[in-house]
Amino acid sequence: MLEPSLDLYGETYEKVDSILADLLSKSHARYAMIIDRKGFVLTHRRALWAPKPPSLDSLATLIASNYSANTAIANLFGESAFKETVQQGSEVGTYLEELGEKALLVTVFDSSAALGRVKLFTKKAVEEIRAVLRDSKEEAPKVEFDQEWSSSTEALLDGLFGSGKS
Amino acid sequence: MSTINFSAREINFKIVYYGPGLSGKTTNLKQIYDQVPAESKGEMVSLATEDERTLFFDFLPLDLGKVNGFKTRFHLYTVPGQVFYNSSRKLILRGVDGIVFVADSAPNRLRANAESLRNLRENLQEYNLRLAEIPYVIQVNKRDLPDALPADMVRQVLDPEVRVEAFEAVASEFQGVFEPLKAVSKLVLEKLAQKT
Repeated sequence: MLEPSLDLYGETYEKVDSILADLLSKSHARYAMIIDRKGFVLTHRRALWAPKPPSLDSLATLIASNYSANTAIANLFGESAFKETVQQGSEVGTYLEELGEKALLVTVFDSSAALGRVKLFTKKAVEEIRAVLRDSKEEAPKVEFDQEWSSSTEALLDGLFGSGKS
Repeated sequence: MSTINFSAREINFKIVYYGPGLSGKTTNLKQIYDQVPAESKGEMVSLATEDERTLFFDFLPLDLGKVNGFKTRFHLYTVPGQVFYNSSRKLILRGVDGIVFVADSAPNRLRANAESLRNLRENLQEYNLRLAEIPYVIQVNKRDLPDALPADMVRQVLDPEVRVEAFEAVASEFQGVFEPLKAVSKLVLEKLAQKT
């Protein structure tokens, strides 16, 4: 089954993107990312002044797995989840908020941003994104996975892994 | 369950390498990383103990290429094989699209293969999934062991009714590494085409 973890496209995507831009500007954070709980990046924003981020795939996978592990720890103590997930190093930190049942909003900040400010504006962004998603009336675009698509993907598999027996 | 990202125009799939401890799951990923061209792969992440046993998972993203304007991507994961890391294994299975079961050919690991497969079934149940519903292949690894059991015997324990494809491999020598990955990827893509 094919599922969009969040319905992010068209006007809804534009609005969410603008909320992330606003979050970066007000919190002084480096990056804001929406990832799904399986570790896939759904969308991301980088502050104009911020250095190039590390691999987003690696970041998203590690954050989603860390979140899952933290939730499993919370469950051991009878909690449904820990309320806050903050990681702070000497220079860089991450702050994470749940965004519905399937996604997470992650804000990456450095020592130039106050944690309180990051938390405040991340929570505000979550509320705004939830409202945008709730009010969105857009339907997901249809994607055709026809015979042509199957042949093309098979050719790509041959190209990457060789055309021997599979 | 595959994920479509309309904003980035990507379709993402999650493939998990499962199997008993030391059967060669991480070796598979390392070999894939070494053999796939740079433009088709991302960074490999390994969360391992000091003695290089997988603690949480290994991760390798692969780009298959673009079809109909959508980039098709596979995220490969391994699970920790050691029995006591079951909580971690369960977490990694979340949202799985396809499975490569890496079996060990050593005679004294026959039972571990069977137990790992049973454990896989149990962990999938936690997500209301059945192995029969998920694209899945078997890799019978370590065929170079001097006392390796016949591949059919290993398979008989895991798939007595011969329902899934099985591949013989020496993953450390890059033999039989791409074949199971290609086969499971094909099954995953076919399943998507059938469902839409």
